[in-house]
This record gives sequence, C-alpha cells and structure tokens, in this order.
Amino acid sequence: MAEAYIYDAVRTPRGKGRPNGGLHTLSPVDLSAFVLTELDRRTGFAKADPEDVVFGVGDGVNDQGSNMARSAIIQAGMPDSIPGSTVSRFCSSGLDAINVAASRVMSGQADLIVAGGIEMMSLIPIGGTGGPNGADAIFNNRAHYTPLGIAADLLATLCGHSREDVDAYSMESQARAAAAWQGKRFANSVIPVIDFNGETLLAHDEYMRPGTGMADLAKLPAAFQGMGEKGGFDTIVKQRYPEVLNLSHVHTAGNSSGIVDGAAAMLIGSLEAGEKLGLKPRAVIRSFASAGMDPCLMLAAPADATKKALARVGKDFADVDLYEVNEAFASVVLHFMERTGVSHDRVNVNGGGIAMGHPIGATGVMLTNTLLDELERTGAKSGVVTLCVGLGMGVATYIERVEH
Amino acid sequence: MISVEKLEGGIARLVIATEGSVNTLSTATNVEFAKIVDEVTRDPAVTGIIITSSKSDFAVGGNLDELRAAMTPAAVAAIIDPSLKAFRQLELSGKPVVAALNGTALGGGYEIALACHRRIAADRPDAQFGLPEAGLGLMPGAGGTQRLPRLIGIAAAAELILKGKTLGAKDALKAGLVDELVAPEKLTDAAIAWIKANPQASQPWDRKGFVLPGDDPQSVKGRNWEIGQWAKVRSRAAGTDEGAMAILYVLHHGVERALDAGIAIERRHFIRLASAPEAKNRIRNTFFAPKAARPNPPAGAGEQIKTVGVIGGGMMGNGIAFSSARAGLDVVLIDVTEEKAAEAAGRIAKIAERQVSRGRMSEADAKSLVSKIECTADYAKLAKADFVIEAVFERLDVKHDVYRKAEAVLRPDVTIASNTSSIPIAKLAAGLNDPSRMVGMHFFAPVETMKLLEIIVAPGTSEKARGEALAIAKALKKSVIVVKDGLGFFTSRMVSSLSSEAMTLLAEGVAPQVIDNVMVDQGFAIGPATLAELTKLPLLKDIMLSMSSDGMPVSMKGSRAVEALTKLVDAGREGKMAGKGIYDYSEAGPKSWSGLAEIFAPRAPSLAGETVRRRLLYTQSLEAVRALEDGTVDDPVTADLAAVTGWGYPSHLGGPFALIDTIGAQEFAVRADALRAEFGERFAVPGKLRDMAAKGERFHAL
Repeated sequence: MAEAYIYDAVRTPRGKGRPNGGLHTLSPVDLSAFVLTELDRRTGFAKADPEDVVFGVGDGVNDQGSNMARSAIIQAGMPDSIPGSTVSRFCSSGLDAINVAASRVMSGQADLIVAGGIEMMSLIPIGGTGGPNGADAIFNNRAHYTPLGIAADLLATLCGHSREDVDAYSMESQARAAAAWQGKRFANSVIPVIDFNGETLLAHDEYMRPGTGMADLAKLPAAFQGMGEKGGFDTIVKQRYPEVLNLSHVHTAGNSSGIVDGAAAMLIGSLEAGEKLGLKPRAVIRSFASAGMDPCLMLAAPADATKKALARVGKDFADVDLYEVNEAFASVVLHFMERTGVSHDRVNVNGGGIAMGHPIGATGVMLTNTLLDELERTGAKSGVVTLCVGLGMGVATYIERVEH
Repeated sequence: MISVEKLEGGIARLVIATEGSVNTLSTATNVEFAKIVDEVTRDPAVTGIIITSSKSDFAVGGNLDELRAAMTPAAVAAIIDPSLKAFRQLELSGKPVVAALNGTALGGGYEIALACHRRIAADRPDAQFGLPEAGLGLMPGAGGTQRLPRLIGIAAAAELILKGKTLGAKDALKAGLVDELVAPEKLTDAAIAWIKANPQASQPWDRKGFVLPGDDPQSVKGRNWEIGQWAKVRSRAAGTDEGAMAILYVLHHGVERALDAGIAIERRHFIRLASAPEAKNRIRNTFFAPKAARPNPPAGAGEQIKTVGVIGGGMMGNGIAFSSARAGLDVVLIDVTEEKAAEAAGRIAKIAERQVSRGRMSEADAKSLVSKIECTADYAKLAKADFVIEAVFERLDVKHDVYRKAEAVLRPDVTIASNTSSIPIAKLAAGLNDPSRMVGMHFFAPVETMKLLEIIVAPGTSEKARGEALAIAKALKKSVIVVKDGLGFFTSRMVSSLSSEAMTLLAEGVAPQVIDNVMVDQGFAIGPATLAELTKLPLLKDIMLSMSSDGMPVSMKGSRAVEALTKLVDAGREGKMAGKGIYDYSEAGPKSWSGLAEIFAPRAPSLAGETVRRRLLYTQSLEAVRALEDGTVDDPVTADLAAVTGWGYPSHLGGPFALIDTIGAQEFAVRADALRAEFGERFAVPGKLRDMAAKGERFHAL
C-alpha cells in the first residue's frame, strides 16, 4: 500500500460570521479559489497534474452549493484539466476531504491530490441545506432530534460538567489561542486575505477575545435555555434519557465554538509525486476512522472514532503526543479527555474553535494544519485530529511527523 | 342516499341524506357519491353542480363504526378510495362545482367542500366547519391535509388540523375555509348565481403558476416552522401522537409536490394510522366506551329521590354535595360540628364561584345551586334524605359510628352509599342493621370535574340500592364502572399495583426521575413517583399497608412499597406539599433529594428504562386480568375507560386490557414470564390470559 504524505497546507484567517465580518464581502468561491492559489504558489501543484481537488463543505447550498472545488479551480484560473469534488459530513467535512484524499493515494488511485474545506457561515447558516430534520416529523421521532446546543447541554448534564467547568475550559482556550498568535505559531499557515485591489480584508483570526476571564464568561446568558424550556427540547431529551431530571444549560456563546468564515487547503500525495515537485513530506497520514452513536446525544463520538483509528495501527490513546479535538462545545472536549484519560496539556495546545471559531467545512483541514505546525515546532512525533459530527458521529485522523 | 335534482339551466344538485339524524359518510355513501359524480361530470347537459344536504347538517364526517372495524390497510383503503377519485373528478371536470353548505361540515364532509370550486355556507350560528380528526389520533384522509394548506397556507392549515379545531361560520369565512356566507334561504340562489358567473371552473392548484400561500416548506422559515412544530408535539405528547407527526409529515411532503402526489402521500399515512391500534383505542375510548359506561338504571329506580344526604364535609363530601345540587337535587350535608358544617358551606360556595369564573355557570344559577344545599351538624335533618352518601374519614370505626347515627333517623328504605376508596363494602355494611341497604359509590377528586364513578356491589347489596346508585350516577352524568366488592375494588386495586411497583423500584435503587419519565414518555400526565408525592407519602404508606392485608391482590406479592415508604416517612419526607418527599421542591421545580441514595442504594448496573416501563405497565395489565378472572369487573371496555378517566391512563394505549391486545396475548405472556423470572410472583400470568394466549384471543373485538 502506498503512503499518503502531507506536503503543505494553508488557510485563511477566520472572519466573524456576521455582516461585519472581515471575509463576509467575499463569496465562497472566492475564498476557495484564494486558498488553492496560495497553496499553488507554495507548492506548484496545479501544473503537476493533480488527480482531484476534494473540498469539504458543511452546507453546500446557494452560493456555496453546486461543486465548490471545481468552481474554485475555474475561479482561480487553474488548468481546466483539474477536476474537483465535494464531500459533506457536517463538521468533519474538511477532515473527511483529507481522509478521502489520503485513501485515494493509499489505494494507488491518485498520486497528488488537494484536500480542502470552505464555510461562509455569515452567508449560509448551519443547516442551510435543509434535509429531513426540517421536513420530516416522523424522521425526527426516530432521530430524537436535538438542536446542537441542546445536545451539548445534555452531554454536560450526563457528565456532570458545571458552568464553572465549561467556562474554565473556555478561558484556557482563549489564553492558549492568544499565546499562539502572539508566539506567531500560525504564521507559516495563515495567509492574509487580500482583494484584487490589493486591500487587506483580514490578516488575523478576528473572533478571539484575548484576556477573557471567568467573570466575563460568567456574565453570558445560557444560549440554549430558551429553546430548551420554551421550545420543548428539555422535555424531549428526557424521553430519551429518563435519568435526567433537569437539563443544565451550561453552554453560552463564550464556551461554544464561534460562527466564522474561512477556508483551507492541503496538498497530499505519494512520495514520488512530492519528489517531482521538489517538496519534502511534512507528515504521513497513518490511519483514520469514523464512528456513529445516538443522534440525540450526538456529540460524544470523537473518542470512539479516535480509538478505532488508533487501533488500525496498533496504538492507544497514551501513544499519541498531541490531540486536536474540535471545540464545538466545551463539554465535547471535557468528555473526550474524561473518556480517554488524555490530559489537557496534550489537547488543543494552541486553543481551538471556542476562541478562534469553527468554519464547519474548513475546520478539519485547519485543525490538521495546526497540528502539523505544532508537531514541527515541538519536535513531537504524532497527533490526532478529531471532530464530533451532527446526527451522532465522530471522525478522527492519526498522523505522524516525518523526520528529515 | 344521494339524490340528483335537475335545476334551471342544466344545473344538477346532489343532495346527501344518509341514514340517521346526521349525514355520516360510510363506504356505501362514498361509492354512491363516486358513481353519481362520474355520471354528472360526464353528462354534457350538466352545466354546473351543487352539492348540499337535506338534513340540518351538511355532513359530519366518516362512519366511525366502519373505520374502527377496518383492521387492515386494505380495509381502510376501501373506505376512502372512492371519495379520493370522485373528488379529483369533480374538480377537474371543468364544470363549476359549488358546495352549498346548509349546515355543519366536518371531516370527510368538509373535505367534499374542499374539492368544490366554491364553498358557500348558510350563515347559521350553530354551523361548524373544519377537520377534527386529530382528536382521535387520526388525520384527514380525503384530501383535507392537501387542499386546505393550498387554500390558506401550511401554517394556518396546521393550526386547525393539528388541533382538530373547528370554526363557526364567521370565523370560517375569515380563515378562508368558506368563500361566502349567505342567509340560509338564499343558499341555492347564491350557488346558482356563482355557477352562472363562472361557467368554466378549476382549482387554483390545478392552474399554471399556482403559488402556495404562506411560507414555502423549503424555505428556512418553512423548515424552522416544521422543526418547531415537531418539538411542540413531541414535548407535549412524547412519541404518543403518531397522528400529529403524520399531519406534519404530509403537510411538508405532500404540499411541496403536485396535488395528486400529495393526496397519494396523505392516503398512505391515513391508511397506516387508521389501521393501527392507537386509533382503534382512541375511537373506542372516545365514542364507544362512554356509551357503555352510561348504563340505564332499572325502570323507575330512584324516581322518589328528591333530597340527597351527604355525610362528611371534606373535599369529597363538598364535591358530591355540589354535584348533586347541580343535578337539581336538594342536599343536606352533615358534619360533626356546626362550625365545620359552616366551613363546608363556605368551600362549596367557592366551588360554585370557580365554575362561574370559568364561565361554566351563570352567577344566578350558582346562587340558586348553593341555596339547595343545607349544611348542618344536626342528624335529625338527615331524616328527609331519600338517598345518603357517606364521605367521612377512611376508618371503619368512624364510618360505623356515622351509620348508627344515620340509621337512627333515616327511613328504613333509604339507601346508604359509602364513598370509600378501598374498604370492602361488606365490612362497612356489617355496621348497619340492614346491610342490604348499602352500596359503594367511589367518587374521584375533584368530584365536580372528574367523570368517573365506581359503583361497588357487595353480595348483600339489594337490587334497589344498586339501581338507585345507577340512577344517581345518571343524574350526576357520571361515567360508570360497576364492580364486585373486594379489597380496593377495581380502581384502587389497579392504582395500588402501579404505586406499589413504583415504590418497589425506588426501594431497588432506581432513580425516581426514571420511574416518572418512562411513564410520561408513554403519555401519562404525571409519573407514579410524582403521583405518590401528590398523594402524600404517609397516606400512601397507609394505603399500601391496607392493600397488603387480608385479600391482598397478587400485584402486592413481593412488593417493597411499605418498606420504601416507611424509610421515606421516617426520614421526614412527606411529599410535594411539604416541599420534601422523594424529590426536593423549590420554585425552580423538583430537584434530586441528596438523601435518597443513602436510604436506597442506587442500583448498579442501572435497570433499563424499558424494563422499568414494562414493570409499571404490565403489573397493571396483569392485575386487570385477575380482576376480570375473579369477577371484580366483567367488561374490559368500561374497565379500560375507567383507567383513562380515573387515573390518566393514556387513551392511545387503550387501557390495561387493550395494552395486552396491542402487544398480543401470547407475546405479552412471554414478556410477563420473563418479568416473573427476574422480579417475582406478582408478574405471574393468570390462567385466563394463558388461555387467551393459546387461542389467540383478544379482550376487545374492535
């Protein structure tokens, strides 16, 4: 079996997912073309006959619909011979794009391939594609539908996470992200977005709130209490989890992932393909896996997915140096650490989505990119990227740094 | 029968007149209607069609006898298919079709009107329009869920269809359910005029460029509405309202397609719902069981009763006095002191005030009602009573003392009924000189609103006493279950089986919220742990002790209820009123009581929710079968209705007997055997059930 190497990766800074966000005036195809162009500038992949460009897109609809990867190739003025496709699995779409790309290299069906991801949440809301949840009451009965935030509060309730627990985690995420930016740890990968007039739209992750303290976080109202109490979801989750007496609404805007815009791209290929481009492999993708669970509780599968991925290469949680566990909600990461026994000093060492935002389809690529940089910076050997996924799933990818 | 009249200018008028006082749409009517529609729409001489009725109503809906007898999808399809075809033929005929709604049009009746190009209604204050099927756990099945939203929008249609809400003429006009209101005598003229003005007619949804009113189901707003409605239904009814879920489903999936596809989707789901046990149970409990539960007293029974004596001025006595006066009877209420009697009078006046403030009674009626009740401590005044209901404290010696005093003043032929909830009537009657004059009348609190009355007939009870109890029940408009004497009769024996199992689970270390939530999930208004809190734990302990005495029902075998309740009461836990019981109570609602784990070590591993649920439901069903076997009850129909009206058993589950039918006697017995193996003798399968399982029999034919 061939091995799939990571050669390089770039990403945009994350813009606030609001009408005043730094990237809001661009379109998804612009942002996608931007990261492809920047990746090409650094690697020259476009002229090396890549097999495909695979983009993760969470909600592929409206301006973000159709085929974002192929559209971006055309928008970027790259050769017509480069095809493009999209993959979608909500929050893990970007990581799935990496896994698809790696699979094709590993199986010998591709030599060089780009994996990427895009989400403009300022333009397309979560769930913007519709689907059975918004159409089918009978399906919702089977799925025991819960909105994301209610599922997070349910996880916190079942795990016994208090408001202080989740806020303390979030304060640390802000502090780590601020320190990472200050220490220029993202400098190699985050490319300022500049428009065709040469005006800089965004050079930094703008969602962060450095210096956030417990008192600031404590002031924020519970974000999902209204839909829980008035919308009926508090009652609904008890039907599935009768051991719950009162759902504790601990999650707020301060300890949930930020709504942002962003895109990322990564070049993956065989050893020979890299040699032709004169590139040195930075890491090797060893294994990956996905896992499913009860869609009502929804968010607790990253540990299962990670366990499966590590088992494929005969490893356990303790064997891995660093983890990027997507900070969809603070409870998701707290639960991951409790389940796996992995301590906080190996998890999300440079902050995460709570501080910097979670651009759904792009996050998997961004987290892998962050992990890659951190492995190189610290000289650590191995790492896992994992995300929780809507409808009750988790996806994980295990990589090892290549020493030169 | 449907007749066709030829009016001026080639207009054909179809007049519906089915058997019975109102028009109900049976398969025969639907077939006949389809045949006539086929003829008139093909007849080139016909220029327009009017559909009306010769009765006071237009048509009140489908025939429920027929629908509940339809046990298979094919049988349901046979009922509705002729109409579906006929309606489509009408609206595509090109001829103008007018529904001349001379009166109420509901369900299938209103669906005829929806298939017409114009709905003109007689402006009558008593007429109602709409689609009430949801009340039976059903949905409209003849195009109603498809045509109404195309007229007024999905959200507006759902508001009516999901709630089964019907509208009076003026509101129906405003909401768009009818197009025009005219004086009743002008109805035909108005219909003819519209036909003449619209010689070519089509439905809006069959025209090119039709735009759905309201939000598009595929818009963000439309999708959020659908999710919000789902959550509303789901949080209110857990998974028990399949009808509402199907309505939401067909509103989305049917309306986003063309009408014919929408009708096909509606039909598919209607057939599924109507052939399922939940609808049969609801129809039985809503329409058929209430008739069985209103037995006629023997001819002449109780005719002489003008004055009812009520002994005991507590909550039950007050409610009985109020309800008797409301039924037109004079009442003498006796309490131990004049002071207590005056307090009772004050509380009865309060009941009357509440009825007035809720708009159920005029102030004048309330005043005259209260004036019919005399509250006193003077037993001599009981002498004029023609029937006596005792409602004093549940202790044998207290009751016997009261009977001695009553018998001393009453005429010897006057029946004495005891409103006891569990003491055997034979034991009570033993305190009378003439035990045959005693009958049990177990009322439910609050008496003025609860429908159920359990009449207990002891072996010594005279036919006269029994007949008079039935006569009073009829006067008070109660839903009756007549049972044989015994510990806990039927209802208390049944509720005890539930409470006992709940407390046993608690003693085993199952969390109280699990015990509550698994039952609320099935549609019980409150769970059995919370029910215990409302009963008050010391009282429930007494009840459990008494149910564990002589004549103990099988459901109490191995019960740990007394143990659990003794531990709770000893720890100072009394219930919700005291703010501390199984739960701790504050304004924020119930919280886990931290001491619970100390008196009941949490069960590890925890018991599966489904096992908890089965124990709570199956113990009731098994005890019900034993009660049928020993003759305590003789009719599963009224017994199941008593469960629904008496202790809030969910109507869609049918009742303890219907639950066995739904699961199937054989499968039920297998599951009960498994419970017996794990949890003890109280889950033993009675011989009768074993028999039925072997023969594949049911408790309810329909």
